[in-house]
Amino acid sequence: MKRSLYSLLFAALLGAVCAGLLTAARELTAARRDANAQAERIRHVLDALGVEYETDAGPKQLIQAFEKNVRTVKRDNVEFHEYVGSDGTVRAAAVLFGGKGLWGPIKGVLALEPDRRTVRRITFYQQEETPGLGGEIATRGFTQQFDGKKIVSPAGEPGLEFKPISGATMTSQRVKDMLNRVARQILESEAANGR
Amino acid sequence: MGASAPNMTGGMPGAGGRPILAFRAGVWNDNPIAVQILGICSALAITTRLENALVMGAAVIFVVMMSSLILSLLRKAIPRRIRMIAEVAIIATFVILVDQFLRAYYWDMSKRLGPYVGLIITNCIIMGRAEAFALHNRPGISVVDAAANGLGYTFILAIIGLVRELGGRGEIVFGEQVLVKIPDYPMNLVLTGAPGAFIALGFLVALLYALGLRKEREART
Repeated sequence: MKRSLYSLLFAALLGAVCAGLLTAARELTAARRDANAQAERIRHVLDALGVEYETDAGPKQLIQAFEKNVRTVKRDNVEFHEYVGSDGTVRAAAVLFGGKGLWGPIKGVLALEPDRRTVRRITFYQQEETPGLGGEIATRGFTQQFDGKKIVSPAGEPGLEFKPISGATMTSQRVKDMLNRVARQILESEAANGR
Repeated sequence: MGASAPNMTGGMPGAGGRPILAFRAGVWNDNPIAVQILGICSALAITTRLENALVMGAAVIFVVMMSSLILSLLRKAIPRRIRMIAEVAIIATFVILVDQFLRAYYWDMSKRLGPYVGLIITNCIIMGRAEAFALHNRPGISVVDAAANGLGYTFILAIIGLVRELGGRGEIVFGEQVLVKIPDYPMNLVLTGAPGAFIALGFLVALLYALGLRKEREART
């Protein structure tokens, strides 16, 4: 009886200490973690658009670079982050996209040339795919193949063709689905705006 | 010490008291992967690239050292019947703390470790060292034992990672830096995929035994 009571007390105490530590750690780091996640997203938008910034820029400088060079406009349901040059012309436009991956959500940036049909660059800023297989979507080796491709086929069908990753069929299929989805949204928004 | 500390070190007589022996056992004689075949889930899963193997190794070394230290300090207070729950609770808490800390202060490192952090909790080596060593030995020697096992784990992972990345892709890449690149190398899907991990590990264990790992084991028993 005494031993059981000790075990119970020990378990309760250990549980409380662990839970307390985790809650405290979460609370203490929340602001920094969110700032890092936001900076990561901004960094990827800037990279995809081709905006120049200091390579060792921290979250603050990234937000500054973003606010200085990028204008966010909403057309229908699509939010474009437009890279506006010093002469006032739009040099590129980026759209955030995402969807379900194999293990967790996948989020990325699709940057287009001013014609809003040609891919400037695609990057993925959040993914939890299998390292070495599906996880390769985050590498430049994978995303390079999109550069210069059109988000619409000659027949007018929205979508992006790409070489899937061998051994990562599920990830490739889901990436294909989300790219087709965002391509369709962009084309619909463009059509609604008479372009 | 030694007399006061029971040596339940998984068939490793005498190592409980002497740091050098505990170290040698973890890295070589009782290597967690090559000899005990422990923790191979992660060894097989994440060795597609050398970089991944090294980052995972560093994370495991850190976590196994810290959890062994804390469990060893608490070894007399933990009730025997609930010790495994206590081990898991402490290891999991520690891994999550490390994860949160990395996300807040070392974002780049956290990004690379991302998918592996969960795997660290389930790594059998960490709980194995807690059960077999830290709960029966003093903190100092427990940390040495943990570090040695972490290093033994890392060095095997690094070899498999090297073989799979070079043989599978014909390149060695660290972050953005390409260290080795064999031109026109055809991707070898056997080595990059799961079978390659089993094959590479099997050959590596055979090689290590041929190099004398087994003789030392027999001599000890």
